Amino acid sequence: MINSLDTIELSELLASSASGDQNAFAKLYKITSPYLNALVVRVVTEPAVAQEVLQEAYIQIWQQVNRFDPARGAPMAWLTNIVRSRALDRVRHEKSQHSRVEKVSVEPMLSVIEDDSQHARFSSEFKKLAHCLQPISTEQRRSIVLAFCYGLSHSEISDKVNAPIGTVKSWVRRGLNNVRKCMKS
Amino acid sequence: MNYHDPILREKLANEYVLGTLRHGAGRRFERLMQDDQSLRDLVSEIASQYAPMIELLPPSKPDHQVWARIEQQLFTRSTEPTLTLAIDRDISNDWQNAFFKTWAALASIALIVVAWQPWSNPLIEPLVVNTEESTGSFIESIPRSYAAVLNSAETQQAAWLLTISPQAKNVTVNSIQPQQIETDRTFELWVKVPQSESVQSMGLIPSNGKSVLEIDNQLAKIIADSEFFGVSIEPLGGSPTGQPTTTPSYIGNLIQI
Repeated sequence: MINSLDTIELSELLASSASGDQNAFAKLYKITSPYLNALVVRVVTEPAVAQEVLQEAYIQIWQQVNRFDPARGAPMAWLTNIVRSRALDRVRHEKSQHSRVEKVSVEPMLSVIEDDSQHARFSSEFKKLAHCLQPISTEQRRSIVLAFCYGLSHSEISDKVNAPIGTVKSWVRRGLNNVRKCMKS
Repeated sequence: MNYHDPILREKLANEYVLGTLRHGAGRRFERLMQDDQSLRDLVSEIASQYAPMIELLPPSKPDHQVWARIEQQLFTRSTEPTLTLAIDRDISNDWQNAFFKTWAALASIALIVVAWQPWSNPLIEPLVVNTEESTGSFIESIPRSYAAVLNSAETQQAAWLLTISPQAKNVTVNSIQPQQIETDRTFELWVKVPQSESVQSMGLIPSNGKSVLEIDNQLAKIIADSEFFGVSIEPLGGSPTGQPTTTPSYIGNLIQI
């Protein structure tokens, strides 16, 4: 799990990449791509498109790597944000998401979040997030995971959980708000 | 909207990070962020909070071709050496055996050809021999430098010189003379694992010029104890199987310098 991703090492690799060190960038790719690829293939379910998205995202990372500031956020968060944005941009341009929504299965993830006994192998940052996701309602939690891990929009979540879109928006808004309060506390 | 309202800013930042802002709203928010450092900081903070959620997803290595295309797009036009990513590879016994049969048959030739003097070629810099006593960690306890000449299995002509510096954790590959290869193929360098019938990829090497391959401690030890190197011709991006898909077209063995 991502415990193996050393924040300091990633920050150093990003800094070296920013100075043009191609070997550092290759190492950064080697370490992080399995995790980011796992995200991309869930948001963009077509394998060939997912490969394109990952490729484009890493090219963007190389081109913008000098913008990364470790004082303003974790390296994996910065990388994840770029990759997710790329993936979301791609799927938002597709006309129909119906087949994508059908493939989504989020219950195993919810089970992990809800069960502390399964958290030993995860990072401390994950444990903190899970701790803040646990008190919110199951619907709120499911909506947030569907949006983050699969890139589903409000309307796609609405289709997936068979609930009115207004209700889904409310779940998402309240869930995010509650998690935010918990994380700041 | 009053974008200075802290509650609204947090709401929008939350939804932006989650990806649930509608397309137009997302673009407006991005424009807003361009001139608002505190908003960018807020987004970074929230993104950091949710990023660990990807730990829920089992890691999945991307196809080799993804890196090959990234490398090609970013680096091949520069004068920098071609990079090679050491990707863990699956073993294919069939290819491995075929590779080794040819390798074993050609090994005796390599032992003869290695006596060739690479220093006579003006393209190749003289190798530095370090005679200092080495102490400490493994990487310091093995000899400082090695070299190997890779010769064509067909013509016995020298093709590449490998200069291996375990302490620097790299292998410098110098082309002795340009090698012809089809445009959709590449050369891949392998090292035989000692006391084993397996080979390990050291990376892709150029048909001409110079490149530097990274090696880690594990690979450095294999190289130090190994007998032979081989080069196979593979599809662009390297062998898709993780093992040579052709018999070695070039072979060489290691000498300590």
